[in-house]
Amino acid sequence: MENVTEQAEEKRRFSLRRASAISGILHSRRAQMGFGIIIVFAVLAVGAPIIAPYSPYMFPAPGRPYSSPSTKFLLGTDNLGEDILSEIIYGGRVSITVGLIVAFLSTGLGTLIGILAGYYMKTIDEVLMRATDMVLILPALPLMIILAAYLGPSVRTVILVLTVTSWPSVARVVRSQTLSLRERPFVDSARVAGASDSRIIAKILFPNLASIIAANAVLMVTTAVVGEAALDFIGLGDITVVSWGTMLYWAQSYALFNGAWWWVVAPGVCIVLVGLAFVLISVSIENIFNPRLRSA
Amino acid sequence: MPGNAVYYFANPRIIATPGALAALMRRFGLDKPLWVQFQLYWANLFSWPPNFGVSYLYYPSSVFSVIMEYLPWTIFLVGVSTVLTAIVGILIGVWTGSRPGSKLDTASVSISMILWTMPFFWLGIILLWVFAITLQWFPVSGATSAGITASNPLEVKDVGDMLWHAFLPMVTLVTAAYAGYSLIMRNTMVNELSQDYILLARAKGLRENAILFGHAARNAMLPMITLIGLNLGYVVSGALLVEIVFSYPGVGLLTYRAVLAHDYPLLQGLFFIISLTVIIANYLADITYAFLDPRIKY
Amino acid sequence: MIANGSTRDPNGDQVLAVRNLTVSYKTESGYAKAVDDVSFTVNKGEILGLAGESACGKSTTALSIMRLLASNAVVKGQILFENKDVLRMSEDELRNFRWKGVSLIPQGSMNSLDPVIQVGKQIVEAIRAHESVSRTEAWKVTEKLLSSVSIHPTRAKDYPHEFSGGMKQRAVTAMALALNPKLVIADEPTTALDVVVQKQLLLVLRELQKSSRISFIFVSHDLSVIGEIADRVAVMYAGKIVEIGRKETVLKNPSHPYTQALVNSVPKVFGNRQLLESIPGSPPTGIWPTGCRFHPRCKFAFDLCRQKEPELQHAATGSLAACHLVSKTDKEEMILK
Repeated sequence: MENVTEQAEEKRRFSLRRASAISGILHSRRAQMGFGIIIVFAVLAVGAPIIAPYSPYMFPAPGRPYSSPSTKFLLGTDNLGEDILSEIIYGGRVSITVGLIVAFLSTGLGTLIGILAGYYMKTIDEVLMRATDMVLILPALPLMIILAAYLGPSVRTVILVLTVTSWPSVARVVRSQTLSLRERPFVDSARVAGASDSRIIAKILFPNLASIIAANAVLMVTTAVVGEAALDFIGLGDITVVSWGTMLYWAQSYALFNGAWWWVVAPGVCIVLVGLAFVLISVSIENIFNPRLRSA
Repeated sequence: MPGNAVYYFANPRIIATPGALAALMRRFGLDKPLWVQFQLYWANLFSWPPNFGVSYLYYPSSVFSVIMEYLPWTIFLVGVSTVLTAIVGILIGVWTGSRPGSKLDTASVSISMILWTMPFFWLGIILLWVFAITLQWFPVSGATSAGITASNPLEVKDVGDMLWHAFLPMVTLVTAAYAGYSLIMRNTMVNELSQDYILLARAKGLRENAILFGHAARNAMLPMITLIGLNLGYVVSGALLVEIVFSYPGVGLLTYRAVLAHDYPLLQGLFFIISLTVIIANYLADITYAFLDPRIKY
Repeated sequence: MIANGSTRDPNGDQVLAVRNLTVSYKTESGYAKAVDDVSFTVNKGEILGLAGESACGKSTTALSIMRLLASNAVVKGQILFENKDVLRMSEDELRNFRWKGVSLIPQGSMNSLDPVIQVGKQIVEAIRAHESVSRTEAWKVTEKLLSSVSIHPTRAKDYPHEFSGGMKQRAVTAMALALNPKLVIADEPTTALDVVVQKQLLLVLRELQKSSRISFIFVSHDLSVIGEIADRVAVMYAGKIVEIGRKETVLKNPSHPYTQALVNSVPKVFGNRQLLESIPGSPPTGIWPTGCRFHPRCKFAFDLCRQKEPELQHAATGSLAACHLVSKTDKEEMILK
């Protein structure tokens, strides 16, 4: 029957497209740069106990406070005399982990809500979108601050707050994609063939949404890492934990007037590098699936 | 709310008599049952001036009056920055959109990507350190120099001094935020320049600039206005952080202090007012868009 | 040799002379030729019809006269207007020449007007770019122009989306005439219109030709429209002119097999019922056949057609045609009615 062969043909074309897409991503120069940076930081994060010269929580501190970069302390020391390079390496663990968790949770939640709203439409869509809009319309940082202030300062608070403010944009994007995918003939033919809703969602909609979800999720890591830094900087994270954000929190008060610029520069550069890495990967994912956007 | 709020304000070990503690609780309405407190809260919100209660940190001033002292400075900062960001973003977008793929375009796009991932406040700290502390070209904090008292930007007599203080915070905001606009403007421009009406404009013998700005940019700018509205929340968030870095007396700095002091009434009031302001600004942006696009009837 | 195809030779009356025009587009996979060594002239007060199927190069030819091609186009040859070669004009000369010397009624006038600017303002803009007149004066001229194409002058303040398709077409036509150009290039102006509006437009153009002696290059794939409006006709195929001559001759007595096939494929409203002929195959894109480009689809093709590209030669009817049959001695036998 026509529809069956049409479906099979779509499947075949789809897996071919996916294979070439993945190889396209791996070969793009941008993505290679991005992956390169991530691998470096991943190695640092995982191998922290071995790679870092000192522990950032040492007591008594290994060096004199505010000493400039030297062979003993490659990035100098902070106001307590702790080695900044070690702080960076250990801090990376926290910052990157938070970024990944937030990206995973918010993308997951947003995708779920987006698909449900887009697929079932009518009342479910109305209700879900009202909720989404309510969160979307409030400015992010003030919302995060007020939530975090009530929840108390901790890493868990930061993760929760970032997730809550990030999922709506994902939901919106996924919803509109779902709405347009829904109208395609192969969805109808699957329904006529008797496929259940969950099967349609899982086997048909989801794979087609995969590229958009992936691009968004990767971008979300960047936003999350920067967001985590911002929350820590204000003092809403756990300031006893070393992360790039809390480093900036302490640096804000102590570094500048003591001339310890390296204390300020180092965490910022790391945030930019990691953020950039994920942006590059996200852009190359988008470019593969939407070649019209390519510039030169 | 964690713990009895009064304990943040009045250390119970210092205030010895239980009577005083009870009096304080009465003062803050914390002795009433919870749901009565809830009712009172909403009733107060909708009165004028809105009653958010009394600030712990700035006791006995009401939350509303405290916020109103700081809000004008933030509006000044965000308002001027938004305009500047839009101008810079549009100009760069037009310029790179008219020559996509060129060296300047690729360079601009790369710089934009880096700036987009950069945390607002980090950039602020760097600028503060380089220009204010090391080079001492600009002041380190405040909206006006010491000795000049003004409760809002409109009352300031020495505009030059005010701008001098506002310069670094604004530069930070504009640099960190323009990239989004310029990238979208660029893409829209590339799109518009391939349209039929541009061909005819060229055929009419118009100068290249007249075509770029008078026709292409004019069409490309319409979605920008919506973008400015959408981005307002983002810019306000950035402004809050920048105020903290530069100790600029706006609601951002106020929020920071409120967080440190656990001043919950102040925080709630701040959240409400800031959100309301952003929503209103968004609405204004929508109206402006409808006004400028002749195809829309409103 | 300048292809003229007319029996008289009013060289003094020539408005435009295109000589050996070649246009290639630079793409990722090399150069693609769109126009190949095309030459023709346009005389004062005449309408030259440029006919052919899609992608034969007629629009490219027309647009190249005003140098309006995309930036990846490589143009060779000469385009002579008032003794100046357009292709070698400076930026300033070019801007002056555009609209004042030659103007354009573009394809797809639906989108040719800027949607956020009033129609009248766009015409005023064209005027003031070339003449130093005040805004009020330019506006008055605009209103007169609109009236001349049966658009009420008060509509000048409207936006393009408030005009109907036909009105937009007429407005764009009025705009093209704003500076009294010597030549107007009309690129498929009737394609998107219904027949009633088509007729109106053709009447307007006829009027202008008679009263102001403006020349037109009328590009269209619709042979019947060209039959109505043109004085001389040039037929293009695969980037080359295959036949050029007076309209009556070319359309009633075609010398080139392609022209003949085109003419035969137009259904006749009156007269006996006939079986419609269509041309087998499709026009070549990119890679052209060896020898005569039309030979794979030609009824009369023989050996020479595959080997050698025919040049434009005088046919018995007076037109010029690029076909080997034209120089054959027993051509009366070959050229069927």
